[in-house]
Amino acid sequence: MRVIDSHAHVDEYEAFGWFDPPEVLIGLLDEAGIEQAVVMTYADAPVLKPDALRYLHDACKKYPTRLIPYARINPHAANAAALLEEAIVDLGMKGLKIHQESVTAAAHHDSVVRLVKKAAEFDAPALFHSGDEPLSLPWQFAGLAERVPQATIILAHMGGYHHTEDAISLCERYENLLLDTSACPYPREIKRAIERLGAHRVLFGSDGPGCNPRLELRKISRLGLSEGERRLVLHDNIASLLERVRHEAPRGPR
Amino acid sequence: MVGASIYGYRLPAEELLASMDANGIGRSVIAPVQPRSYHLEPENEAVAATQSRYPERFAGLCRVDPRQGEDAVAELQRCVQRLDLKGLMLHPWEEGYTISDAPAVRLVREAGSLGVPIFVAAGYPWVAHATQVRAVAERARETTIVMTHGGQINISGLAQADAFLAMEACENLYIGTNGVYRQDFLEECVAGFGPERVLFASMAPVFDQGFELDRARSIGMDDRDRPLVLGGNALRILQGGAEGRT
Repeated sequence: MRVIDSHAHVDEYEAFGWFDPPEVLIGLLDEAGIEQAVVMTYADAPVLKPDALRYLHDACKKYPTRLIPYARINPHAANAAALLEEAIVDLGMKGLKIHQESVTAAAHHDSVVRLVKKAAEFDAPALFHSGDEPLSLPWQFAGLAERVPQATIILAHMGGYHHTEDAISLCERYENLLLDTSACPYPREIKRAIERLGAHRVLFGSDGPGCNPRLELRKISRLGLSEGERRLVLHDNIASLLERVRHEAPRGPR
Repeated sequence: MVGASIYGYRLPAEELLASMDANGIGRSVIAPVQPRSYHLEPENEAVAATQSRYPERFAGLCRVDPRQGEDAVAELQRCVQRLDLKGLMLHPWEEGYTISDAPAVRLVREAGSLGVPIFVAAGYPWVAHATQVRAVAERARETTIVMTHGGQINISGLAQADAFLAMEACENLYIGTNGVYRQDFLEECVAGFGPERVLFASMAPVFDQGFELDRARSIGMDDRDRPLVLGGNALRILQGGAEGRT
């Protein structure tokens, strides 16, 4: 079965102590039998890493059939929207990543809402960190989901260690929210999410290379999913999101 | 953790045995849950009885609440000296105390005196962060302390540095592998502190025992050392307490 990892990283960022050039991830994807991965940097452009988007673009150019870039951007930056547009239109990136702890902004912050609206103009998905930290709690996404109903918003990690029920409940309320399985430590909670939301709302992700893609894939294999559910979670859901992304600048008033 | 927890999870010993058999796990360290009654003493006795019933499969820990002061110390002594339990489980998050407060430190030192290890449900912010466990370890150097969750529960990885520094500062600290975010953290701990200080742990039923075994088996390390992580370290620590340290 074809597999796309919807959440992985390529970056070399000394401040975090994580050095993961594309070769590291490619080796792990090969080991796991994963065809492609959506990748983003650890550091946010342009504040923590001014050349983050260029770095990512160059990394993905080395493996054009394997790596699919999302632009990780600090929404507080004055040129955040322009950067995202450049990333999607000029660099061919396929989505937006925001890590709220890294950029010190909850998902309902006006700057985040503005940037997610910009992503939605391109039908590009917006991937967010979610977990147990003060700016990453699932219910904080309610305001964003309501204010940008046209956006596709993905909650990585399914709410972390102690907020999986919140993440699932939130997704039951807002249909424009999806979950990714990366680093979620509870196979049973992933199964529960699929039972309550449907397999079309859950995406396989590894958060590799730090989290081992083969181990993350093994977690999915433990769920006892049907063939159709597995295909959706491991490939078709993310593939259809990526296909929808438009790389032309939107026309008309903005 | 065996029993029926006030937090909603439950694991009878026989179900744990079935899981162990299904996953090829020979022995487990078991600890009591916090029961609905709030009384830990009967749970300690139940774990001791389970250990007696399956001596080849289970090594039991007792669980006490440090806020009970000298009564907690007496219960620890009773459990080790009369019930033959092999160590102490402290769960600051579920019981609601801070691991670095004086009553908990008193218990940790007492465990060291008794020659048994401590397993701390670690990584919980505010009550059992790695820096707080480190503060205890520095004041109880003779006690072997295992931090569950790799000493860090943070799915951004932002608590890893504190856990790593705690391990670096205190040779009496060890980590359990359950639920650890980022496999490379486990690999860095094995490389940095030796395979002797990393223990496979599942914390079932909160975590899935089979998947947690997958996690421990996936650690990138010398395969010759893997038996230490998968059981050798736990056996050594339980048999020798602080003296069993390598």
